[in-house]
Amino acid sequence: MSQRLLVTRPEHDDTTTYLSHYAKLVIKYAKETGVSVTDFKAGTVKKETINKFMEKQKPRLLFFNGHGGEDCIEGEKGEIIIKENENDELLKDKITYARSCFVAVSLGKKCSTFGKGTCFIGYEFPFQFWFDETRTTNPIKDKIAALYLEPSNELVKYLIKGDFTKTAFDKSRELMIKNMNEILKENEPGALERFKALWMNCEGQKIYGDKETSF
Amino acid sequence: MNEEEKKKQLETLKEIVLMKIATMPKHYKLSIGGEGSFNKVQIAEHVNKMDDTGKQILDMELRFIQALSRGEITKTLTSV
Repeated sequence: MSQRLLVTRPEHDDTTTYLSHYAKLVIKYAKETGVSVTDFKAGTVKKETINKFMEKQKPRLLFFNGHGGEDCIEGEKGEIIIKENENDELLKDKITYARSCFVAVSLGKKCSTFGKGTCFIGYEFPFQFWFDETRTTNPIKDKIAALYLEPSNELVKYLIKGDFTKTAFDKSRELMIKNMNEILKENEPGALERFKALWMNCEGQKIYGDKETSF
Repeated sequence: MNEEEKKKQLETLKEIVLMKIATMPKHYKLSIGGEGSFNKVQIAEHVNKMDDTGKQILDMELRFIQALSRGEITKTLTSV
């Protein structure tokens, strides 16, 4: 097993573009701490490429960005890169964080059968966020989206630092709750709707498998 | 709950969502994963059509209201 972080960053719509830009911040942090990173950028997040890499290099920490379903994680434009009962054993002995919709419902749960050292963190509901359409050329500057994507980024950073998986999960959840409280203090139109989306992410974030493993 | 009551609940839920969405600034969009991203006009269209996206939006609202009434949200907010 290599102490390597694998990141997937497809960019084919607003959602994946935002996730990709925010994931770049995690990549920067990882490199600054001396962690080896393999960054599958837009255009490269293909099943064959990812699977071959995972089989050969066995990265310990996986950070998937993109769409998904209850039993799968997607890459470029809907191409399924990990599917339950097809190639899910690639997640064995790995720590996986999937910033994708619904993946925790089935694929995530399956990881809890892979024994010690395997952990999956993901979402049972759609991972959602509000964003400012006037900021789409520079998502990092979007303060609306940051409320959702920064706690999510921090989860990976805690894992990179060496926190146990449950600790990283809990700390990320605390950040979401802190941001929910911040939204409640606002006297802005639509604050309740923005609160609701963050609450859904908080409630939907689940952890399966080894909660006391680390990177 | 019988069919009539279910229909009435759905209509009430729709009204709640449409009212709340109307308060969003027009340049804000909601990303709902693979469903796509939508401004308030588009959200209202989906909710009125009651297509898959519209149903998902209503489902999220129902979950939220249920959690609110059970005190789960207060519990979460005060847990840290």
